[in-house]
Amino acid sequence: MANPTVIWLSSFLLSLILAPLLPGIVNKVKAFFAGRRGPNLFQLYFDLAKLLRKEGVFSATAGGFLQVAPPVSLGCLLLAALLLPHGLVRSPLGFGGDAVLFFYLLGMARFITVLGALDTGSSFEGMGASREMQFSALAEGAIFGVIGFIAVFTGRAGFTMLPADGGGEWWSVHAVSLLLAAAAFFVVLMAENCRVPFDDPETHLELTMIHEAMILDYGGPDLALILYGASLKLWMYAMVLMMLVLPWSICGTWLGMGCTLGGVLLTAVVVGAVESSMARYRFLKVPRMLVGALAVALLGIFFRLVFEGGIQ
Amino acid sequence: MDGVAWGIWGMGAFVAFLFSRSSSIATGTGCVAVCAGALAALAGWGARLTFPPCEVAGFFQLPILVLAVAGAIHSLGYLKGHGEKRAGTYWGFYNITVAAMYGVTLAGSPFQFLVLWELMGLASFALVAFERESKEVMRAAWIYIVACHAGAAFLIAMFFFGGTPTAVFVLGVIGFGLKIGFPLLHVWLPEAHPAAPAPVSALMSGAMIQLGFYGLLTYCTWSLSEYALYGWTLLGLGVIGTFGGMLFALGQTNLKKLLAYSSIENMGVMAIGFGFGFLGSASGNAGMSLFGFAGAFLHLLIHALLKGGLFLGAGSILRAEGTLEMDRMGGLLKRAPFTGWVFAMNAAGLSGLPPFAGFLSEFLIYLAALAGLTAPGHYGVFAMSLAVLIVLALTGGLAASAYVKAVGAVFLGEPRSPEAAEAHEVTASMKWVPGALLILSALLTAGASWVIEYGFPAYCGNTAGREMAVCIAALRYVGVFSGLLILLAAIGLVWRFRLVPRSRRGRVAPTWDCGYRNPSARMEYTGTAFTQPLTDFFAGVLRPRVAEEKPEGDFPRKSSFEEWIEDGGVRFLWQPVFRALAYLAHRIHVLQSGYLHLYILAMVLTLLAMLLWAFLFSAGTEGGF
Repeated sequence: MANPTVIWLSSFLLSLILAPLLPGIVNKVKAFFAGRRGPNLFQLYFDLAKLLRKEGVFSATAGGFLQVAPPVSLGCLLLAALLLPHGLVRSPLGFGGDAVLFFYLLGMARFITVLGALDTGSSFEGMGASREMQFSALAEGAIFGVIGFIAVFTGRAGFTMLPADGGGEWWSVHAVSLLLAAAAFFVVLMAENCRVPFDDPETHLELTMIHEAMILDYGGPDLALILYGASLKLWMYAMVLMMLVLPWSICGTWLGMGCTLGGVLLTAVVVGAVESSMARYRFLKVPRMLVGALAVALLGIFFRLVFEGGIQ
Repeated sequence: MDGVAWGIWGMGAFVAFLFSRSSSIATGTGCVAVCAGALAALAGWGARLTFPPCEVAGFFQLPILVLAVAGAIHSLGYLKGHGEKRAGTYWGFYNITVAAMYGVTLAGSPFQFLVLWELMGLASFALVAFERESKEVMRAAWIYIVACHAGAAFLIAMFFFGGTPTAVFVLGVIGFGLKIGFPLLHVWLPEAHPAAPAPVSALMSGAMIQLGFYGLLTYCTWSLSEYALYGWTLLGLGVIGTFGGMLFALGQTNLKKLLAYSSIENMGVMAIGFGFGFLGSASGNAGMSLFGFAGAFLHLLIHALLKGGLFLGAGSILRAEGTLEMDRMGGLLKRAPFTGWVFAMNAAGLSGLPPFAGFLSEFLIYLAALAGLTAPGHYGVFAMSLAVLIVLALTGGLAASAYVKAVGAVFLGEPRSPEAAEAHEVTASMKWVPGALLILSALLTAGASWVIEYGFPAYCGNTAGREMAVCIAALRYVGVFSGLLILLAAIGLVWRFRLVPRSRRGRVAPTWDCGYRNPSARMEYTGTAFTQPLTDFFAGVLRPRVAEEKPEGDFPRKSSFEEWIEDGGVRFLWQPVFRALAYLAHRIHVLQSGYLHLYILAMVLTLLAMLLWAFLFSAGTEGGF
């Protein structure tokens, strides 16, 4: 049994380094389904290196939010990463209620990004910003449904899936509720990271896009910060998903860390597969999916309490 | 020192009224009196301070004093060139309002309390009606005074006729709820706040409506056996107020109206906090109780600072742009950068986003809800905790949307009207006061754990236990993380704009709108368009009204589309009620025919009826017929 702090720290550092790999994996999987060779697995690393060497361009309309948004939003994401449990190993900086802070930090990153988008006065970016705020407001409900599930499941207010009494069975008893919570969170993951069927990251110049529309005006180092932040966000959501589904017995071991990182990469494969097998929803349907995710999370809580012996 | 403070405020009001011919004397003495009185009161407040102070009133007094001074200084710029002739009236009533508000928190008897409460309502009515030439302002002022007196009527009933704790509480919730703005009792807020001068809105929204909670806590919730009732009532009202308030805020086009609705939301959050406090005590959940009370009391202070800052900011915007209609503004950030950045940060704070102060109190209330989920003793408590968790999360998202809309429509993009294009930065006093409030809220973020540790009223009994340690630790963590976030953001900005070589730092080009150069302001998203997807999604609640002229014929000439949102409470409850009353009054009016013999007949009939009544109902008692 290794020191959990060491495991968490190495996992944290590996996450920061490996995060740009995720979009590469997703794209590779999508290329596979489409019968193409697809871009290099490490394409985002090359892109980031290239962008960091280029010159930034700012809109003449912008009054400051456009310039400030990328560094500040990346700062929010990095700080959130410090709170993230890696697999089941809780962050050494974690405290009661850290999950709330985690998701509010992501909220702050979104707030400043949206203001940056509105700062350009562009109608495309206004549209993207408006949709982003709508979907995220509804996704927030589903996210806190999952946080409520975690609290009910573990009896603790912290960002961890280890039960307060330290023991307990796993899938054999709680399979249904865990699956429901994980399914709800997977829907949120797809929505918050702008994947099909909620958003299409590939249609840069169409009326269907959300996140890509907001960052149309960025180039150079600012775009690098944003792209890296987006990949880190996908990584963190996948990590939370791993926390929900990984077995407790491997917590705090190097095997556990390996499984977590492997699981995150596997999540990217699943995301790619889902994106390849679905069409983007009509925008009117997206809110229903998000409210549906909340309902699924609540159903998970219900199952945990009623059928899996949670009532005290 | 309180006597000194009242003396100063009284003298200030007297001199301001006396010299109302000379605006400079009235302004000078009025403003100095407000500040000096507040300082004296603050000294008195400090002198009363013991450790631990265990006093509810202190939490309500600080916002009054801080916002009185902030509003007074802001008024110097706000009134310049606008209504200076009536400066005497303004400063006179301003001093009286502040004195009455402060007095309410110190009143020793129900009678004193009621007198000061009425004085507070009347004096602030004069301030709301300050711009009396405008018909809309007078309409709002009348709605305000009616709400004030309806509230006072319930309070009189509560103090003198309320027998059982339940009756007292119910009357108190209605009477004080009319001041707080509980759902359905809220209708005066979105009317009076936009009508009043901005410093008055700040004082009213940041400090006065919160006094309703002071009344509830001091006079209506003393029965330990009724804690469950208090908790459930406040939680129910809070959940509806939080969600409904923010939803209606989303649909507003007037900046101060948006802020007024968001005050309803914030009062809802406080009601949830207090509700959890009472419910936790009633159900033996010490964590829920502590987190709830601590969250509510912190929210009290934080809301005062941030909402005060936002209303004062809105005043600055009004002076800079000459309008409060958000869809006619735009691009103010370039013309008034200081005001813009401060407004945006205050807005982010009230959306509950870290690193700003607003996150702290929302965080504690989340902890209260989570405490209800982790220690489920009772299905109802569990379900309520879950409901609050989801509603707070949704409302957080809606609040962020509404405030992004406000900041985006006012400050960002290109100006949408000629007036907006000629806007300018405001005078120093209007510029710095919201900034000072923001700094105070940052200090509060850093010191929140001390506020709770040493300043927390011994309200929920358990102030030393394990939960207190958890609460303080969590607040310290949040404080540290807020600091870290500011540090990280600063590092990022320094890297981006200082360390990146100058050749790559960035050049300026037109907005890239998919190959369309120089997009005009007409192509921008307006605030209304920004929130349209959300208001559409919640159209079932908001019931937007639409006036539409569709393009017709082969060569359509003109078409128009307008959508606006009316207050649900007014539209579906109060308007029908008052219409029914007017109808009834009209019917009774028939009696007033002008014929003397009919009046005499009516009197005789009444006398007969009374005789009959006396005969029938007092027959059995002693001394009867």
